[in-house]
Amino acid sequence: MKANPGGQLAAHEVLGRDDLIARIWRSLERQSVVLGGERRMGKTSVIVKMRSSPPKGKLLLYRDLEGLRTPLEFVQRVFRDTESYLSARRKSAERVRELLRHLQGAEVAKVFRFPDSVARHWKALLSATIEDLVTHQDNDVILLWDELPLMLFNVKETEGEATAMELLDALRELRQNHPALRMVFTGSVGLHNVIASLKRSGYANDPTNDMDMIDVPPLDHAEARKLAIRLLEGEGLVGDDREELADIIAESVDCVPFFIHHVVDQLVLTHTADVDQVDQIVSNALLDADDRWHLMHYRERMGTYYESDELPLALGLLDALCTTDAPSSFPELYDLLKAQMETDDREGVLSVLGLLQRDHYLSRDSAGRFQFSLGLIRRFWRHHRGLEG
Amino acid sequence: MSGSFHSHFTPSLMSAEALEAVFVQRHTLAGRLVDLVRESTTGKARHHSLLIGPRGIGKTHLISLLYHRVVGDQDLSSKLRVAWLREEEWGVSSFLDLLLRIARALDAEYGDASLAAQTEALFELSPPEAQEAAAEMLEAYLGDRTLLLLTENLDDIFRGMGTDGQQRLRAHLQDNATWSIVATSQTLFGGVSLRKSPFYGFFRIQHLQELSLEEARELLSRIASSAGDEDLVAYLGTPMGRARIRAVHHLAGGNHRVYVIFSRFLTRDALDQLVEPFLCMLDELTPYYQERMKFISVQQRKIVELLCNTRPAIPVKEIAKRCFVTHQVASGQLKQLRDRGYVRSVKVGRESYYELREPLMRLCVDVKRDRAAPIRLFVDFLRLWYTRVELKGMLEGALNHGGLEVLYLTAAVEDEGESSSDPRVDACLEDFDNHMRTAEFELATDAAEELIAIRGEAQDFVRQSRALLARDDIESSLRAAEDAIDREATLVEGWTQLSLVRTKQQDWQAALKSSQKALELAPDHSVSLFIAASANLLVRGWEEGCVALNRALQVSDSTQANDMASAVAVTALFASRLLTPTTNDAETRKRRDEILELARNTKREAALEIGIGLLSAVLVSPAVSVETAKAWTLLWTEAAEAYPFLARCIRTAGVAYRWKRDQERSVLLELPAEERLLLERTIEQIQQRESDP
Repeated sequence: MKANPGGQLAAHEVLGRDDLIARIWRSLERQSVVLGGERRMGKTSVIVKMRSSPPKGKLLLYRDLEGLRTPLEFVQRVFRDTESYLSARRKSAERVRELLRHLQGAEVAKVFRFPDSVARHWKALLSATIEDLVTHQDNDVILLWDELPLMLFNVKETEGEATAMELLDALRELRQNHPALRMVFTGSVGLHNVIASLKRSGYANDPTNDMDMIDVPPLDHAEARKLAIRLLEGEGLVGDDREELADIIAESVDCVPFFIHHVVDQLVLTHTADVDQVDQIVSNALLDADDRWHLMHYRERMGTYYESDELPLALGLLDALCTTDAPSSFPELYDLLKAQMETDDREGVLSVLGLLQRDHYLSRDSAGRFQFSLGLIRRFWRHHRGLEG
Repeated sequence: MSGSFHSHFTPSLMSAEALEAVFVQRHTLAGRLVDLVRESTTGKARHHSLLIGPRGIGKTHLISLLYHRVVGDQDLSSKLRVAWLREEEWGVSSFLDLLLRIARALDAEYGDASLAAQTEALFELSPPEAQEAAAEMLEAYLGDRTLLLLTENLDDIFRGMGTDGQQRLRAHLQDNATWSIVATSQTLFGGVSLRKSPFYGFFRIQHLQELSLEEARELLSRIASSAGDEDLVAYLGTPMGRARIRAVHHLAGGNHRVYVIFSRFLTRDALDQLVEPFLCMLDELTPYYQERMKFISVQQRKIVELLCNTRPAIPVKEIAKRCFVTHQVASGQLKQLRDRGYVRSVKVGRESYYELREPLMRLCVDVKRDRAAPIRLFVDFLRLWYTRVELKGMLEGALNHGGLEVLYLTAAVEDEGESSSDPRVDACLEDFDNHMRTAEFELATDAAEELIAIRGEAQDFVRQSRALLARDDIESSLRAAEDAIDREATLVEGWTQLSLVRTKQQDWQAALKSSQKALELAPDHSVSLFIAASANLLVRGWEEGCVALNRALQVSDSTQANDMASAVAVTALFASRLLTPTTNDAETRKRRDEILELARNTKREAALEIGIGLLSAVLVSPAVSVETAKAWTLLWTEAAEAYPFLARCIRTAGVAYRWKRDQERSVLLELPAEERLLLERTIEQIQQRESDP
């Protein structure tokens, strides 16, 4: 197994996610799931592993939706996946064909692409497609849709916010109408970010309140260590004690698999496998002008997702927390914030703290105190904001 | 294409053998890329790499080499299909376009008639239908095989496809996991570095480094070998050959392509053999640099043009002023230009100075100048290629014939008068100092010899002598010091160096003579004073030696160099008188105390400490008996109470003595690592000498 930062992993190369996947399957017994988590945390890898071995009695259909821009394109994509599945079983999506015949007034022999004339009937077509899929087999259907938030964003840009809202509502309705149907939404952009932007335009529904929210966390230390060992072995790196080195690697990048792959990849190119080199690689990455570990997005995305009144508070809170070695309670943190900026907006600060947790910057310890979710991000933040001293 | 054909601009036309023969610097990376392709064909994992570097840095060479290694591997090639999109894949404006280019590349590579027919049929469909069908067609064609997509200028392709095309591509890769991509780009671009981009964090990004001087030498040597030009290979190893490589290095700024083009000039000595091909080469390179200019924004071009016109590096505020932009705008543009390999910056204090990374970039400006005026670049080139003396000689010869040569030679000689700075000399001097500092004396010798080849000043011979002396090549060092004096009889450093060599030869009479000669020219020259003191001591006795040493200590400042020199003197002093003491020798103790007092009064305890420390290490030498080593240790131990700074050298002396007595290496562990190193090195040298026949 070779280091593969950012690339596509084989299912057997996805380590340390068995408990999480078991939890997702358990949850899917009851309800649909929004699979969240920080970018590059390994959501897609979790999906790869889920796809490779679904439990008995589950039909799992995966699709990456990010290239789609209209509801009709989306429905067509779902239809083609359905047709592809059914045709392998010598069946076909009769309800959809019937509906198309009705809408077009003519017989449809081979449905390759829905005509634009049926675009406004996308909801009916989606409903018929799911009906055809659900009724033609005995398994529970799980639709695993990667990058759904990106598709919603595209729909919003192409056809307007109202259509994006309708699409979310339609999906919810399908889940309600088909008790055995499950959906898994995931993506590199948080679904909550897209819904928040729709809410700012007047969207009042909560389209995922029937779904379980599960975050993909970093690996636990033992698994991260195991991953590092596998990669060091796979790359044939010989040097310092391999187990100790793996420990250091896992610890230095907070057990995030993406960064573990990166560190080992760098070790390969430098032909070294020693502890000092690991430290050097991580330090260089934190200061890398080319930002090869993509850490800058922790700062850049704030400009996109935080309102102008939220942004200064968010920056102030992170600045305050990155220089304190121990977790801080809310009163402590609030005092630290007030020492660096003028604010009496206690409610606003609490609200921004909530956003920072939801966006995986911060977490709370068992005593409810705030801290950076990842030590690596804390280090990056200190460097980036010039707060090393 | 076969044999050793070298394409300057299209390495993809070269044979696998030719590519391998001149491949340097990136063997690890190339091996790694092949490994990753292999892993992408044997399992479900897919690796995607992006190689970043400016034009001419060798991206196409690396991609071409990867292609040949992959298709040449029977086992590997059966498991994949390679689609190699060349540099000129303009006009990819959608995901569909990309799929069509891939289909065409596969057809060209494998000649599959069915694929060609299916591709042709796509043009009957609407674009959305064609895209779906093309994607399915390719996946069906691949079956269980992996598609290795080799593509250049990924930034152009992504820009053409837009976010929509990129998203569709990304979705396709996620859905199918059958592709492995190795791509190149001149610079990082939004499509992979912006958080919102579909391919953010997707590629393993590798920045290609420019060639170092040593790698450039290897490249040129390989090019010569590959062309069967053994004379050139030998020439590249000579000081003049190395000097010329350094000249190219200055002009090329580490750019592979320019070295390849320049390789044909390296042995040309006669100017008439050089003028025409060089001007032809400039013609050949001009469109390349003009194209590089087109690649940047108008504002950036303005900055590059300014830097083309101003030879020394200039600060940001000057650039901002001359381009009529704010400091902030200039900084932003310069950063981008630096990232793209157009300029380099040097920080002096708080100010950043910028200059062209490749002086050849001046071609873009020179070609627009008055055609009758000499091309400045060629003038620069002549200055770099020939020594001042050669240039003047050639000009005198050419004046009789007239013509283009006179024009260039006159400009070069005039330029030489105006500017005292030769970038090759600066680089050689820097290399020499660095190598001496890091004790890489062989490389320091090379740098000194290059300096001699470039300009041959007396100081350069002194440098050569210093490097040779450090390598214990005393005879050669002596010759170099004498050469320095032959060239400049009044060079203090020449006489000082000569005296140092004589000291090493233990020819104290000659050392005294040379150091006195140096002191006649510069009466307060510290190092010479110390050498004279040592020599006086050994030739004329203790009293005169002490007087001379006292004067040296009074006159010299306490700089590091002087401290080392005084340490040498003190070492010599004790070597002469105290290495054979007896513990009862009252005279020895008296002298010891005189020296200690002298050191204290002149605040040279540190120098004395170094000297005694060095000499203590010498106790391990077979020339020193166990008894002498013991006596030496006792001598200084007695004095340590009054002179606490002696503690460290006593430690060294004690350990050296016990090692000598017991021959147990574990004894050395009593010393801290940095002190142990000195002793270990001395022991190793002694053992080495003993084992040498």
